[in-house]
Amino acid sequence: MIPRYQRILFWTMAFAILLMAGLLARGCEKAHARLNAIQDDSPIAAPIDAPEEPTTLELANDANGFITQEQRLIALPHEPSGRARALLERLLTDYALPGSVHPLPAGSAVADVFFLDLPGTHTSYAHPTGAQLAVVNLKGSFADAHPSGIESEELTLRSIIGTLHTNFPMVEQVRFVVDGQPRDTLNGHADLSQPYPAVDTVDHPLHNLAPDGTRQ
Amino acid sequence: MTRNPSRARLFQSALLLGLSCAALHAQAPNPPRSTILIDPAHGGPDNGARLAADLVEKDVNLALAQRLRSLLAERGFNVVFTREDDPPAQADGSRPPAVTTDQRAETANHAHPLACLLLHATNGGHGVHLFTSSLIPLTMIDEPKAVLNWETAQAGSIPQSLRLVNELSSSFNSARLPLVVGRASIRPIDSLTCPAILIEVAPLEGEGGAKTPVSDATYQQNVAEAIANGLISWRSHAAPAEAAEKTVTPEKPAKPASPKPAPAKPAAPAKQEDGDKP
Ligand SMILES: [Zn+2]
Repeated sequence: MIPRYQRILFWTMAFAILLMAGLLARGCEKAHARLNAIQDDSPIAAPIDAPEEPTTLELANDANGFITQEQRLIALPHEPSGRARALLERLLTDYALPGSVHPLPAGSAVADVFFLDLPGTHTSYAHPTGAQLAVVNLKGSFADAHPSGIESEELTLRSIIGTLHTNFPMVEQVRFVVDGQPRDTLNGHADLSQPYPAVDTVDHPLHNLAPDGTRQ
Repeated sequence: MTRNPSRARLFQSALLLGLSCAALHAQAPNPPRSTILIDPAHGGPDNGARLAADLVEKDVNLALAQRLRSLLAERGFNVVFTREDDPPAQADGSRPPAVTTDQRAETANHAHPLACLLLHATNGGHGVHLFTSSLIPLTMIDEPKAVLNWETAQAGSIPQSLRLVNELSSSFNSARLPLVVGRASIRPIDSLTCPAILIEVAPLEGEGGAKTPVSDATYQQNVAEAIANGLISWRSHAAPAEAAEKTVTPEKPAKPASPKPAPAKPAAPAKQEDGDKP
């Protein structure tokens, strides 16, 4: 017959072993997550004092050259310029995550987004508040590090234009500048010299507008 | 030595036959155009993509173009290049100016080729990417234009360019080379009057994630052979005479980079935006 105190000691020790095993496993998980976070060098989003809302992104895939729509829960500010910048920043930095199907360089990509009224369009029936031109000011560090190639550069522009079109219906045209200056191409291929019509890029390829904003 | 009259008559008939054949040949219409225009993109100070520490896109484009030229010459094509080489830097370190995209378009439009191939290479994506211009094709209701606009000259050739992509796609599929097909207006494709496509070669992804780089000689040769086979098929299907009749040399603006003349419409949002730029 095992004495009672020995049984109590046995069960106490068994419980302690299980507790320590559990703590060890949790510690391993935390260390693993910390290591992964070091590899993911995308910037930490600035804190936004707004609730998350379902937002549609137009996402690029290099494997098939397609743009597809996807819904994400994103916290966005209300002010339109800040909202557009935060939206595009989120879109482009997500492409830098490991396993991306349209890999882009890590780091902040969009300096600012401005909305300008397009002259002569404020009476438009479709846009009673006036059709607008969105000027996307990309960072030079992003453009210079962007993969150089026709497919990759075109898909980045289509993803940006499509996402702006879906979330800002009043935008009729999109123009790109880099570090506040006009630039011929994104990184050797896709044309940035002229504005693009804002369209749903899931179904439409890009073709830029004439310098006067009319369709070529 | 006696002359054999029947042999003399035979000789005369043969001579007449030969002469009449030569005369007939001279009167026959020109043989089908079989010129292929190849544009190895970038060059000079424009390196294109950096593909490896010691490899830039302009050199890969030229290497692929040279492989393609050999294969096409063997198959009876006449090949015209927009740039033959990459001029080295001069003693003072400066480089001769690159062949501009407008100059490339001029070379292409003057050659009246059966097809124009604009070659690029990249590290992004997988397999071969084929693009035609994203211009809206001219339709039957469009007024026939005596002179094409330099910026949109390709609009009249979009249907042929799409058929050319189909021919090349079949050839790439037969060669089991992965393919992405799309529309993109990368200079100077919109200024070309020939059936034109952009061919961008990306690394091959094998089983287990092993990558074959675009600099791989066997891969380049396979791509070149697929293109050459596609062009043979294109030569037999295309209607050269019809295409030649339709070809109108577009009017190139006096200053290559200058925009189109302003239209009568007052709205000029892009120009205004230039003034308002941040
Ligand atoms: Zn290129």
